[in-house]
Amino acid sequence: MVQCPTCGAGLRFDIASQLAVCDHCQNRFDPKEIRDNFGDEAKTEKAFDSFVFVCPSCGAELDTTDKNDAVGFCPYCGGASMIFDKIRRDWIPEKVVPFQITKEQCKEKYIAEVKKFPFVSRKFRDPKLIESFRGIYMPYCDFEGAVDGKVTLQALGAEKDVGNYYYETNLYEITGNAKYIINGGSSHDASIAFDDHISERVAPFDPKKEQDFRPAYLSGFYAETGNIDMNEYGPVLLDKMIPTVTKQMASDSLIKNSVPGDNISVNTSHSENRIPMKISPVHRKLFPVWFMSYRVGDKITYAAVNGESGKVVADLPLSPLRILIAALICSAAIFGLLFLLMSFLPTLPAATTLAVCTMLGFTGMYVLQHSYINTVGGALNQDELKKKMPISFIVFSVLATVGLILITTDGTYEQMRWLIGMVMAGFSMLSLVTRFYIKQATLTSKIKKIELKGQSMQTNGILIEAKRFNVINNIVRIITFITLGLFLPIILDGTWGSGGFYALSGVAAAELFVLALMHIRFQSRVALRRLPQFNKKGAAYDEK
Amino acid sequence: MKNKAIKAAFCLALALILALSSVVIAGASDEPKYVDPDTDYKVIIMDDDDLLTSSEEAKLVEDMMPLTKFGNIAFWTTSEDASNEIEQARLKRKELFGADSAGIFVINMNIRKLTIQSYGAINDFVNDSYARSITNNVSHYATSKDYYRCAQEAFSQMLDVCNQKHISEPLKVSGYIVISIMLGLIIALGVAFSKRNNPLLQYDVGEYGNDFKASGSFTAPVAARCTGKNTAHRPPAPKSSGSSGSSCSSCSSCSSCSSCSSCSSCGSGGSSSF
Repeated sequence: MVQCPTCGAGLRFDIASQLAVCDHCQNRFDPKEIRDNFGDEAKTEKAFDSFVFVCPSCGAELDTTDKNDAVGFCPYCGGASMIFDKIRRDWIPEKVVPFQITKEQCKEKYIAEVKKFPFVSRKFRDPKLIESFRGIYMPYCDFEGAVDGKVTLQALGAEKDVGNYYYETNLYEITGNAKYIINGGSSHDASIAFDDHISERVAPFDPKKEQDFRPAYLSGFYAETGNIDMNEYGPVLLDKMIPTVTKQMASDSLIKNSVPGDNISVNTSHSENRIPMKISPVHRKLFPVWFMSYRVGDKITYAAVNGESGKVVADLPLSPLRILIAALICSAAIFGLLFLLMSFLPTLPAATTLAVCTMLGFTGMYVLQHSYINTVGGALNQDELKKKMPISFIVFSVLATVGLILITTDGTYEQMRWLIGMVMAGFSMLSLVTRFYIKQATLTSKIKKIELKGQSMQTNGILIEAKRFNVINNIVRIITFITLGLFLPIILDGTWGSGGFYALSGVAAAELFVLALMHIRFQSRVALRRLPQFNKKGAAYDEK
Repeated sequence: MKNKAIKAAFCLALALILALSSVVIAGASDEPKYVDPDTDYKVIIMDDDDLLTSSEEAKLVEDMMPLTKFGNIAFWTTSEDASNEIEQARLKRKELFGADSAGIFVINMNIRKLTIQSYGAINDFVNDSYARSITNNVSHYATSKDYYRCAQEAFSQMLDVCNQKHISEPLKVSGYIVISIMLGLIIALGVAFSKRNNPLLQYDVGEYGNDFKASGSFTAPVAARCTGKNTAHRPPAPKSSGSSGSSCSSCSSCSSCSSCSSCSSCGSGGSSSF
């Protein structure tokens, strides 16, 4: 516990003034000048003492400088209480960014963020919930890569014309000894419990606000101890450092001039490039984060507010109820407009009603699948999956619908309308299938091929959920596609009774509704996380 | 003997005359059952399929009489096959009434269709849409084989429409409800799952974590060896088009729909199945 030099009571770090405050004697002190209660030992050793509380449910640990702090519930799994485990000597981080954002400011920023999303449930703005925000210092670490040894790079020569219609390119393998340092990148979180998905997004923290570490900054807050497992971080960091150093190597004059008479360019992403790199952690830091969790059944959501800049990152699942209400309102508005114009609108023949419902079924299927692909692509940072809804799809869908309407309406000028309708509908449907549906199926199949590789718990969870959903979704889509496809010859035939056409329209509407419910469920669950398990042995903390 | 032969011949001739006249009478089914004294518009019933009894026919005539204020009116039951029931009705109406204002209600027992086709003043009110609505509304009577009620209700609703009264169109409204629900669902879900409204797509990492810098160099010597060659085809550059003019002369006007030379004799119609 960091004690007041005047009266010996415990100090707390005051965010507003950035000073250590004694609530007992009202004195204020500069944290840089406060020693912790373990006295001069802390000056000479690179460690400080903290009290470790452990969650018996998930094994998460929280450190505090004051044993009397009521740690209460676990912020990572929502477990009812964390229990005191022991005193631990923690490695002193070099730098700390003290909290700049107070709890009240944190709550305001979080509520403002939640309000931006009208389809998120109001319960995420519940005052009781947001009161549970907790200030935690998260460990971050800078990493440095070093290349010192033999490097092999693959390169291409310049294009040389051979005849009128062909050209040749030489392939080269370049080897040499290199010495490179890769550093300066953003700090990475060094905590197992603090998921990378959040830690990367809640950053950055202003390096100008960094201070030399003093335990007094931690008074009144919690901290996580760093746990840098290079087996886990190594591959992730290699993925980020290798392209940088390869590009730098490619611009080296020795490399560029290594093939006299040929203008070579290094293939920076070639799988045969060999660059031996050693990565080591340097510069441990503590960054402030206001952190909150909210349990949803057997899943959990996190919210984090950057304690320095106020940036908010939160798991905010979409609310199925709000989405369905929005659909109801939208449908009512559309029908209201049609009702006002009812005296001007014609009675649709039964076959036309079925034709319109069939095309809406096809369109709805495409829109839902597009949203699914986009969500997975956006959440997993897969650029090839992140696509905007093409306007031309809407155009062709409308044209196909109008074509079918012309085919199925009876009355005056029936023959001419039938012919124009066939051309419009036929051309548009062919375009829809070849340009849009097949392409979408290709993108969907790419999701199956995405692999789990050193990503965060959240991204792994999203990928697993997406693949699981893909299986049942594909089955339902195939059934819907076949059913709707079978409606088309029935529509063209036109000999069914009105009752039959209306019944099939109901089937088309029901299929779209089922697909919609499935997608609503997926979109609302994909943002939820599994309950973490940090220590498989349970609550016992195995000290080295 | 001679007198007997003459008498027999006379009886035979009388019988023949009577038989022929009954055939003539029977064949004259498109004779109007009623002619409006003010407008001269007629009511015709041609129950070729014998769906109505005599008393029902008589009652139906009374139901059809008010429509003669607007035009001729006919009721026709048939089992003639037709690929286009509205065209069939139109041709019948034209055969009966020519270019006069008229409306016809057809029950086709072969293809199981009810059709209303109209022209002239009646068509000003009973257009394609109302024709469909009315046949939709009365089709359930035909399904339950109450053909008199079916026809009666059809003509009653036609009269209401001609008198600019409201008729209920439940199937029309139901159809638009289903379409509204589907369209509303698609729009709402498209908006809810869009990038703007989906929190999962909001928080981009950007360049965070990818902003490393590398510094250093290679030490001489650096060795390069050729490991292979790629040969690729380069397509020829497109020739610039110097030709001018179009190979298409202006299109001669296409022949219009062969069934109507002008729209004045087409009118409008609608049908339902039963």
